Amino acid sequence: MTAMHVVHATVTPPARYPDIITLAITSYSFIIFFSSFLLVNYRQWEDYFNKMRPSTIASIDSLSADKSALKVKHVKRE
Amino acid sequence: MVRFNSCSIHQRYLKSLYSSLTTLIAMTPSCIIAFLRPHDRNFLSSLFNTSMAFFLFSYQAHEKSILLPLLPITLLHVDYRYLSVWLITTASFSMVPLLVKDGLMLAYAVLQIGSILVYLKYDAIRTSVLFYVSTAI
Repeated sequence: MTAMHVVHATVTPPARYPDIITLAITSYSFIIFFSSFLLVNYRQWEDYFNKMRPSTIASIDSLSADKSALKVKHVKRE
Repeated sequence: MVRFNSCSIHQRYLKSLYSSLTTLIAMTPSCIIAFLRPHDRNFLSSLFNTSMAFFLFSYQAHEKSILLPLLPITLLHVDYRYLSVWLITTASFSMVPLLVKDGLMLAYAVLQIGSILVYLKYDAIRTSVLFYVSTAI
């Protein structure tokens, strides 16, 4: 992304292909968007054929453990 | 002239038909899974896949439609730590030509650098080589 920013800011596109840098940026973004779409689909099907992955359960448990650690003790005032 | 107009309308109709079919095909597998095994993570994954299918394949999609898949993937951050961060960064990056046209590059640069610095506090992203490579490219 940094290199593409630099190219977009400094390089003037050729007269024959004025939108070539925009095309490069959108192509790069499309590849990432489409691969993420495929990855989430794949993980969903993987979960369907296997059982629920323990990573999520463990992370939810750790979150709830953190919450319980944050509980403040109430002290009665006399 | 009339013939040209009718041909143009016909082509437009065909394009919209093809994009509708592609969108439907892309979103169907995820919806089937959400229907067969309904729980919250499948629901969020289906939300992401459906909105991403609309963004990628629908006819004349607006750039701000990318915000729709970003919401469920942010809620799925526990499962997709690296992907959610990468997608948010790339979604901003994909709008660079429009931001240049509107003169919003300074605001974009500040927010992008600030968000990357915040993301680097996460261990999963700080230790990811892929994050550095994709950011450098």
